[in-house]
Amino acid sequence: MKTAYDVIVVGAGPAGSAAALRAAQAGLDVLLIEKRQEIGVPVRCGEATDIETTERFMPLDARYINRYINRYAIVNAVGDRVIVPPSSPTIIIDRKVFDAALAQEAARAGAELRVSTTALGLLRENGAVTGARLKSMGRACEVRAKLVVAADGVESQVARWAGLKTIPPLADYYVGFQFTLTNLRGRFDPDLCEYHIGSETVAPGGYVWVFPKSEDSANVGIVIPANRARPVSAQAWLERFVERFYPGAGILSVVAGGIPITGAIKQMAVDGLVVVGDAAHQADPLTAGGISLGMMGAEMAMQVAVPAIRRGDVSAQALREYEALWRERFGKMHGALYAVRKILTRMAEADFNKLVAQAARLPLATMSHAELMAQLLRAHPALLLEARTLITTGLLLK
Amino acid sequence: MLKLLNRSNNRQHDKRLVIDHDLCFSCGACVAVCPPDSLFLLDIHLTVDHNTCTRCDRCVAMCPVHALSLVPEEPLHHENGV
Repeated sequence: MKTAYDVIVVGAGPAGSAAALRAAQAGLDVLLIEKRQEIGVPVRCGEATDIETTERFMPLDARYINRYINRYAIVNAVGDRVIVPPSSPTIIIDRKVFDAALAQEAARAGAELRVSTTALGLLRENGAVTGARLKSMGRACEVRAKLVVAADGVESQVARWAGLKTIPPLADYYVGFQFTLTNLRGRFDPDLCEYHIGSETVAPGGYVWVFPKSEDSANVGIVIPANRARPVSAQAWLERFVERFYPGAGILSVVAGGIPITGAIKQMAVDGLVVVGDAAHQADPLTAGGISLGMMGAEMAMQVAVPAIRRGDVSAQALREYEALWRERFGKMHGALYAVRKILTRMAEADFNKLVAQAARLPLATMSHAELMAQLLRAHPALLLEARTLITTGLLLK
Repeated sequence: MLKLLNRSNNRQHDKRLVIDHDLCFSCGACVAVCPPDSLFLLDIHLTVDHNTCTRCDRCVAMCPVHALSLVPEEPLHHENGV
């Protein structure tokens, strides 16, 4: 490890590795550090992502692809289901292999990759970030950099040190819990992702997902907003679900965690530092999916930061162009998804059950979003008020 | 926001955050929502700095497995100045 780089990326998850890859591809001198002993572990993820974004960064590879998904089902609490094609072709990935493959891609592009290396603090000059204090395999050192990229995830310390950490209200955090279940053969569709929604008997204010990992196993997980995670815990809700649908299934792994679902934080750059991925709350504010969004955030950050580094101006003012790129691409959509989540959170389970039952009878494949909305509104006029929120936030304008 | 925190602090000043390490998965969900940054994952061991903890209760709500709780402080601790 050297004492100075152009860029230090803290965290080798998808966003951090994507940032390191893009910076290295642009010819910059990059250090990519990961605090864990091994990249991709522990997995804290439902492991669904889209093919298009993945291919922007690395070739598709059977080593990390568990399943190709061609349909999604939205299932209500009484078993009616609406089946829709994915908005973008989906894969279920093995995050451990995926994360390592992407980090390797960054390393092959020239980034210096180091595991067991933790950021202890930031170096500053006149308030601007000029590097980081690190501990690498037990040895402390100071490393200077023109730019530090905070990609250290949901519990980002680096964003906190930079003064960028915001702590949203509990209603804007999902509490998550997931089992990877096995011995499921014949009890689920291994080509289809399911979302189970039921605010009173399935997951208050959130949903349960069933994402196939193989013909015999699936990630079965739950998210519920933190303000509704008591008195029954996310774990207890998920155990109820599993007992009901997959009694006797084997548990291959357990994952717990929390995800901010506000949409990206407004300020994602200060002098000499940018924040990307979960550290910047870039996950989808409805589903909380964040793999491809974090990678896109990293790409946008580097699209702005690489020329800024070249011209020698890494001021907040120069770097904050990245926020404008993000807003332009995802701002309106995430605003709409946030609004949809708030509507779903408020909806009584019985109303949602009726809505899904109604939609299940419509020829969805041949209908536009507007036609679908019109049909549903005719059946459920009370939705009209909610639909106005959606229209004003732009969902139907897309 | 600060006012809110202070209020909850006043309401809960006689309580103390307790971590059930048997239940904890070291997932860090609580660390992310702690306003004063009083929770730490040292490797996989979750610890709380009781001196800076405001007993705001956010981490308790956030825990996927209900491993955290605010319990009445025992008088003994006061006497020891903890």
